[in-house]
Amino acid sequence: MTSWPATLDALLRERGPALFGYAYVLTGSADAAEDLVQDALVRTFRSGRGSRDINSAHAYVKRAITSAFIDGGRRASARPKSADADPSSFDRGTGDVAQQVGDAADLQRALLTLPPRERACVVLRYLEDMPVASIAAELGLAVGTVKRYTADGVARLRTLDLDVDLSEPHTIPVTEGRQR
Amino acid sequence: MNTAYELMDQLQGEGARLFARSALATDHSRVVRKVRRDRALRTSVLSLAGVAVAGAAAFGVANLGTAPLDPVATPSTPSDPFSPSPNPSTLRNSFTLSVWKQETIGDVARELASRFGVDQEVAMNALINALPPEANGSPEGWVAAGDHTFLEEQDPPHGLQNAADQLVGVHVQQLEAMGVPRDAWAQTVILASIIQQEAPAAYADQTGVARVLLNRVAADMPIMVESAPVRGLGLPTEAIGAFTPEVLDAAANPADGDWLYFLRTDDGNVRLFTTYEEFNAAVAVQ
Repeated sequence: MTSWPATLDALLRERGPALFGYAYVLTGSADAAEDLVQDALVRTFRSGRGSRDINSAHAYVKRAITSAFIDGGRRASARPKSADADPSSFDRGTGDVAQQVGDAADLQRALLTLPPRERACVVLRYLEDMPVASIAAELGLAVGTVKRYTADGVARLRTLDLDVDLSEPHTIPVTEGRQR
Repeated sequence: MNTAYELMDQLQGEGARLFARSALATDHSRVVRKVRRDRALRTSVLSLAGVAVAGAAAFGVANLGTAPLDPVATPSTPSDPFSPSPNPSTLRNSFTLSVWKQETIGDVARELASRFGVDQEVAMNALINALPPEANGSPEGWVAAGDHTFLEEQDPPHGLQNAADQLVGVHVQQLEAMGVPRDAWAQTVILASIIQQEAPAAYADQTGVARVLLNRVAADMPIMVESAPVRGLGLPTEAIGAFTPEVLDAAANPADGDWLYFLRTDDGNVRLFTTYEEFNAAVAVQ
């Protein structure tokens, strides 16, 4: 068993971009993603769950990102407007080409209009291709609740007339590249 | 047309590239410091609870009676926070949840929720499920103040419910052990929660205040204490916060006396009076 600082170090070096990317999909901003990843790392490593190996640490941190995101959303919902609720404020990065960037950016703006739990359910369902039962276990919610959040979220996205295929994700072939 | 997966994957890639520009990419010392601080706290608490933990056979134990009133007053950080605990093989997967005196059940649920990575409502439901029927579904006051040490952290929902059962079990087991009749459990818990706030210092004060409160209820006098926002007669219908096992003991074993008044002195102690005149005279000179 390696020490936790060594695991943390290796985790950030090897999986930092992937974890950051996941947090970025949820929050829509690099600053919020950084706060979220940092919070999730503290939650994971203080409980000793991160010290076994980099793969289990990765899984724990990812789960902690999701729950910290939902917790933060609940806290922020008491405020009139949260920082990530402004669709024009997110940092889109650099160097990408026209059309696809546009569609992804549209989807991101649309995602930011969803409340945190709906957003988390939609992202886990489509990006992670997680079955509803796994999402329920991950978020500590009932299966029926997850179904409702997902359906409500998708319904809302559909009303926004995006250029995106929102059919059920199990039709997509699962390839090696899916698991980040 | 792209699928939702493709676009989200693209966003994720975009975010992944932004990582290099974040402070975390080059310096995660803030994370290390926070983790060190939290783990140091945990290690020191476990060391205090060491003997009891090593002797515990099953799921967990609670190290009680040492609950700090103020989070700052937690056990001091040992010079080497990662020194082995008394029984490392037993303790490796343990964690501690500290419940402060007077902490409300909502805060307990929030902490429990964050440990298990679930919603606060889910944690609260687990606590409510753990209650004995005598609690009438009201969890306030039913989790003992103190450091609760859990020997395993399993994934929810199983681990969560086990933890909730353990948190509530401390008071329940004590009520049983003290032989408090079941129909008096709720009242004893409510009484103890008020005593925790009104007489935090000495056990003798606590048993005295227990008697004063019960005498006032028996005499149809209003409770009228600062801590309990009570109008009218009788005890409030639910507890007002967490308390230690010592206070529960005091609530179940009130002192003998016909006092109807008490006065908190500046040093945190309590004086008891039988008549309003005595009480008033003491207030006048305080």
